[in-house]
Amino acid sequence: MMKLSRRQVCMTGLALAGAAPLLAAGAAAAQQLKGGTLRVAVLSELANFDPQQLSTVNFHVIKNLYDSLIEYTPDGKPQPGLASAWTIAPDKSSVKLTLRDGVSFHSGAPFKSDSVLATLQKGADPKRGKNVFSTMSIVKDWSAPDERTVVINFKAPAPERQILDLLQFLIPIDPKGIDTVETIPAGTGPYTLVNRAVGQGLTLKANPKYWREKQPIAQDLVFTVFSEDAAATAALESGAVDIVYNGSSRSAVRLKGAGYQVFAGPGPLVQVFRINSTRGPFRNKSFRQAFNHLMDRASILRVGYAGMGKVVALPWAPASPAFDEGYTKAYAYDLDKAKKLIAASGLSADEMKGWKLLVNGSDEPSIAISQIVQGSLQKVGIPIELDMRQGAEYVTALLGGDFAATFGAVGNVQKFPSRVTTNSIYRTSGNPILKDPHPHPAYVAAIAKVDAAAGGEAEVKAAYDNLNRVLVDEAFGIPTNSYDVGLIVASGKIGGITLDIDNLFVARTIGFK
Amino acid sequence: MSEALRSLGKLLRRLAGRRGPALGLAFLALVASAATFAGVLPLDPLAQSIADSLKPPSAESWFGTDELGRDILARVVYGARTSLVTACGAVLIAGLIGIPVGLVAGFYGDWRDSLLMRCVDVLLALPNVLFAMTLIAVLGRSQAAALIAVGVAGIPGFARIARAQVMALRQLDFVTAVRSFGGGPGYLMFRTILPNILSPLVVQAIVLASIAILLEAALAFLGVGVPPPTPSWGEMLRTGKSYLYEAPTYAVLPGLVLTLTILSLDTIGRALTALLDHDEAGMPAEAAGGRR
Amino acid sequence: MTAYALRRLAQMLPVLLIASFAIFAMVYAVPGGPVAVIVGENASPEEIAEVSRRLGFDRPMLVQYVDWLGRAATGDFGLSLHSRQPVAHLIGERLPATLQLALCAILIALAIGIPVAVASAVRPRSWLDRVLSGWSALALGVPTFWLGILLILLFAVELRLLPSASRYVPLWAAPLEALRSLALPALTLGVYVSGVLGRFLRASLIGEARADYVRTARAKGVPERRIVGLHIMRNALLPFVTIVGLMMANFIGGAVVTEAVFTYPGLGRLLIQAITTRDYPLIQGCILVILIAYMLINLAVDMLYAWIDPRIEYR
Repeated sequence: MMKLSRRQVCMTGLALAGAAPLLAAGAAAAQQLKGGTLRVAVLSELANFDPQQLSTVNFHVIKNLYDSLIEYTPDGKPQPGLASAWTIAPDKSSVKLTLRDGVSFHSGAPFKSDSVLATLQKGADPKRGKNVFSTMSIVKDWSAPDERTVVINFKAPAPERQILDLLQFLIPIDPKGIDTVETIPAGTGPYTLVNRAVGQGLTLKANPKYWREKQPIAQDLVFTVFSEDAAATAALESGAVDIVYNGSSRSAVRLKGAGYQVFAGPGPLVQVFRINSTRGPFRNKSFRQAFNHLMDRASILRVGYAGMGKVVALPWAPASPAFDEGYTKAYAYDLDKAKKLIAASGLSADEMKGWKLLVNGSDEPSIAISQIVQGSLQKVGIPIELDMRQGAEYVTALLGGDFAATFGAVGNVQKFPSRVTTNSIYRTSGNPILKDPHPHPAYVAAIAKVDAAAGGEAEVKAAYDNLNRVLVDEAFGIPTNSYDVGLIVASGKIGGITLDIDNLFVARTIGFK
Repeated sequence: MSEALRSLGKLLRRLAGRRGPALGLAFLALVASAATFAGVLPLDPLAQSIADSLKPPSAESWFGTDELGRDILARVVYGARTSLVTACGAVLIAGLIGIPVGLVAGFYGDWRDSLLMRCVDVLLALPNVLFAMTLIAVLGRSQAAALIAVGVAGIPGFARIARAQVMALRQLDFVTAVRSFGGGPGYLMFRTILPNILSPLVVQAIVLASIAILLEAALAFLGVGVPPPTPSWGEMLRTGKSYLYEAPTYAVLPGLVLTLTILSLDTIGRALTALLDHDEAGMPAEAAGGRR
Repeated sequence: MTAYALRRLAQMLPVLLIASFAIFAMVYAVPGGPVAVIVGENASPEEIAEVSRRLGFDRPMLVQYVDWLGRAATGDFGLSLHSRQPVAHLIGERLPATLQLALCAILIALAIGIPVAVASAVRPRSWLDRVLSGWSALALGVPTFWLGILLILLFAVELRLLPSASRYVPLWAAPLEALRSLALPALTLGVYVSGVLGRFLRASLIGEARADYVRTARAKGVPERRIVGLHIMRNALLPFVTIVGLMMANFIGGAVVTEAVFTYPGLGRLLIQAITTRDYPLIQGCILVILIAYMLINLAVDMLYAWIDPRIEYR
């Protein structure tokens, strides 16, 4: 199991993502790959090097500068990482980790339990924990019996999958560099930072003391930041880069037609039409439910994401344990059903309009799909306007809950279902949009039930079913489709692509044929 | 004022007598009437038909369809409205602020001149697009914001020309004559001098109109113009650029209309300048001055 | 002359002060502060308040402005909020890219503009003049972003000769690669400027040709080639220098649209990026640099003017 070949990894990954037939990846893994300088085009400038501030903008560097305690295969099987072994206590209230021997940080300091403790401490700190903080909420305390062992205790028995998710999310940071980790990476990863030109890119070189044998294959790793998708693909076509990472689905489809290799990981995002149920007509449940049927999901998927992905009515990727295909059909695009629900709401025509759909003007797909929804609303007699905001202004409105409705993708949709609560609209407490007390207690209860389901399979299944029912009934988030984030488009001479469960970019196995 | 209008009519007739400007006038008339009477044409710029997206030009849709299956020709026609509204509004704003600023600065020529012109210099030193972008960031994306941003960017043009003209005129006999009869500064500036400097200001208005249309398109191209689904030429170029492979005509055709509009305005503006320069040939040398 | 330069420099100060304050006030008024972007989507209101306090955004605007001004005067523009890198360093990285593009564009413009202007000024109103004037009008009227798109369609999509997106490669580091990257954006800008230069130079050449000294020279029997080459050209070049300088000054920040079409990493794009992320220190630093560059180039042009033409006196 531990020696799962790259070929299997790629195959499962592609199959899971519903992507096209396997390309030459299998053959590539079999033959010897050569090293060299790997040139990668990325579409976002990274925010900083803190692995606990994981977001799509730094997806391309984290797995190359750092290692996790454990890894997942694309189909969700745990694999040893910096923890060479782990034992979950029978009562599921603690986990004991054995740390890998002979690993050192880029600074030269040996990897020991103190770094895991420092990392846990940072994660549990509300100010420094960033997006690891919410995942740490199940943790009570931790200890290190010796230099190679760490024990993490939980507040209550936790489902196994939730424990594994935590370990996979924990990336040990060098204790000496933990305070400056935003600007100076402090990991054990296969590459070390050479330099960074903000807005333009960064250069990494192979870590000669890396612990995984014969990795990394490429000696140099150069990322170039492109602000536009078209520019990145042009660079690939002209041979200026070898790989485009995190480009648009549309370009991927076109390049695939032109003979390039396309890899889609198992950790897609789900686009969600977020509804602020504390405002105007959206306080009315029947009116909200109409939106389950107002989403022309097929068109949204086609125009926004070139058809790459799946239409969904629940915020789960197909790999999620809570995924349920039946809901997609039951809550399909149907203007008649929508009209009936709108009529049942008892709202007057005036009450139903007068709100604006907030749009992220920096995101091309959002602009297109928001116009599709606007068109559908027009058809059922609800004329609305779009409120376009750029960059920071959009983020502020999104975070402050200063909107009536908006499209926003959610992540962590392939993991333990309650991980969806890391996304602001699905947060159960301190929800910045819906505020406290949470206006949908049924939803809060359903999440709590999932978290408490540490028992048998039937109990877990019942908890998931209940959550799904509540999600479409409360209808404050209307998922429309899953789509690929971190798509990899590579020239034909590239081989050895490894897919990551979160679709992060993993360069250490990549080489030239 | 009616005299000014009459001479404008005369100018138009003379313009129409020359080939380049006549073509320009004809094209502008076409664009303007299409924008004004778009409502009666069988064109819907918002009707989506996703099954028919990104179609090349055909008999049903002459310019093809966009990513949401909307008719590009319809969007170009309605986009003309956005462009013209922006151009007119911007010229109005720039004129209403820029001309008085220039008049006051040029008329007094003292500390008021220095102060006002330093402010104008600031506006001039910052590239138009950057200035407009910052202003739109403050105001939020809307038709009004685009119009104001473009208008404010046009203030220095009017202010400088008005100032230069006033400085040339203020010592001339007819102005000193009115002054000696007890005409106040306001009367002198707006009733005596202004009517006499209308022609260069009209030319400036045309120049600014073309700059305004270009700037509006540039802002939309950078993604901060009039918000969709309202059609705008610049926005169409922006979206079309990302479909260069699938539908090359998407970005090319709206760009062609935009370019022809700007070329028309430019041709007319130059022809007008030539005509006016010719008319002014008999005037005292200083009258045309102010150019350093 | 030195006194003049010093006086001009002193005059620049109030303009810079007014401008920097205006920009500060404007940026301050922008809704959606930078804090939300820094803390990310899953931040709590307390966290936002804390970051805001740490970065000093809770102080009155005037205090923040004076604080910034004091440090800017010593060359310290602070750190970019987004990347946590010194603003001066970020600008320093982009400035060479911008200058390289501007210089190439000006060279292309001169290469097209001067021959066009001279050829059409030799025989005004001839068919050649009409054609070349038409070219100038076209070069001026075609929006750079549309021309850019057409060039991409032709050279990148159809012929696959040049990249549709440009990177900054220093000319001295890898000349060929740099030229490949620069070709399309420089051509786009250069064509536009060639229109400006062509039209301007033609007008001043024709104006000079009518001047008295030319008539005198002709009457004296000075060869026509010498008249055009020496007398007319030299005098017409004077205002021409101004225009070239102005164009150069404009490109420091004003080539944003071209930079956007070709995703060229220039100063203008840095500023746009700063505006969308509300990176206050970066916005202020960029605008200040653009203003100073504009004014210095203007000054340099005036000095050059005086040097070429000693008739101009500076009081």
